Amino acid sequence: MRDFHERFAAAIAEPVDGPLAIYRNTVMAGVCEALAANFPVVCALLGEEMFAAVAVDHATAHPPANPVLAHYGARFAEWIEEQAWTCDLPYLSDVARIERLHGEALFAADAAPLDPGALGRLAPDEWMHVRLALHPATRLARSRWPTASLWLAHQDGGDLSCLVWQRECVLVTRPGHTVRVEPIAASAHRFILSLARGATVATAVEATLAALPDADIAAAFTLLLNRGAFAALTD
Amino acid sequence: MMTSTTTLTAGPSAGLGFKPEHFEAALGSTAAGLWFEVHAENYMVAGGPRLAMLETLAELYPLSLHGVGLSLAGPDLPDAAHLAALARLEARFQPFLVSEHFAWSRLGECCFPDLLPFLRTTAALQQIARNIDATQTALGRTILIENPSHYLALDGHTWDEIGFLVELARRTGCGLLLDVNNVAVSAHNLGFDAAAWLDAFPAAMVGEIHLAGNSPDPVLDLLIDSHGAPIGEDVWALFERFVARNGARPTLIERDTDVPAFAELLRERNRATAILALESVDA
Repeated sequence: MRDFHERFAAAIAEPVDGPLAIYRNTVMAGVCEALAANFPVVCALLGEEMFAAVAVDHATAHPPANPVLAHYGARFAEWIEEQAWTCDLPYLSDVARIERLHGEALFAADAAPLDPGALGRLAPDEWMHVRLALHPATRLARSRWPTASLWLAHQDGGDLSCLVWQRECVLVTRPGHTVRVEPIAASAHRFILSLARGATVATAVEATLAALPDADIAAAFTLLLNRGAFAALTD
Repeated sequence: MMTSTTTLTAGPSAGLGFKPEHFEAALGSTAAGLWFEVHAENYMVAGGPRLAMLETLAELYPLSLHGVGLSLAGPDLPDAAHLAALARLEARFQPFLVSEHFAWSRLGECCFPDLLPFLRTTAALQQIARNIDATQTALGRTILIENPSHYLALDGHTWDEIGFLVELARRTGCGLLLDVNNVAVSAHNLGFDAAAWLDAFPAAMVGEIHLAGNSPDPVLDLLIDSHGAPIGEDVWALFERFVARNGARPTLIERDTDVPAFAELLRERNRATAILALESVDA
């Protein structure tokens, strides 16, 4: 039985004529549609025609390993980086990385976010020593490019004209089941990264202020709480 | 305290393939007997808004779970992680029907988002029976298996299609999902008589019917099971013929590309409902 399947898979692995092309085209269309759905901003930056060709090349190198196509494209960003044609688009792989994080956030497990009131109920010395786990949907990134701003500019009502060409730290969250991608201050990034690595609030504040003396920790903490970036406290 | 979980069950009425863009319209629909079917793979995620949407839908309507990724006609047992994900969805949403395909879509580490053909040999029959058994054991229930669309006359079949499906259903206890559009598409592409094939289909094993539109290939003289057009009159005629001879079954309107407004799909769905109502008294 396996022999037929292997021969069939080999036959549609390359462009082919006749009725076999129906299968090849359906497979490729399915894979390419999934990639476009998961990486819409990369698609917008390249244009649909270019993206379609890129998606076929990518699918040949990395066919789906899972029928759940919501997860397809795990290695797309790294693959983009290896392609010679992207030398004029050095930010493209970072945009793909952010879109991957967006997909991870979208489909991450549900969990109650940390209620700011719960911190208020802790004694002051107690809450400085508490450790905060990230919400399952929270993702962080740093980019040499204004990747979050680029991403935002390609959403409804977005505007490329006010893009400032600078490094960005990126926060991805899912407050109220809506994924948010936004640039955040380097200090906020440093602070939440410290917490994500298991530091207590006190240690994270110290580490952030040591690296970035002008850090506005209160503003960073307020933003992170508002976005539901942390999971509820567990006993 | 006892907690009870209610499975909403559809009678032999017509349902719609659920499209997220129709969520609001679906919630506001007053169509009697309406139910929805979803592709299981689209909901095999840990959490988030997509699952929440399905949760809301399933509280209001009977739900049918239609898998496209188990690769039952592949040479290997269903992927364990994939089967576990299907079982989790089944347990969470308690669908009134669960179905899959007589096709394959996975070979080792490589997945093909399509429903690929195989040779109907006795070895294939034994392997597919094992695959269906594994699925039904994991789910703790029987499933329905759908007849595929054919584009290619393969040399090497040792079983005819209907005989093969009947034998698999007999061995595994699975039921059959009759896709009438796939019959019309295959009859055109392979050159057989659709009505005669339908008349020979084991109606007593049919637990669900699918209806969809097809599209001509731009190059070859082939019909494609595109789910991208209204249901053709030839497919309606075959459906009426089957229902008149065999009685009503839950019937799904599928539309996956060029998806029109909810109201337009509901018109097709209501046409199917009217045909089923004529025969449901005798069913």
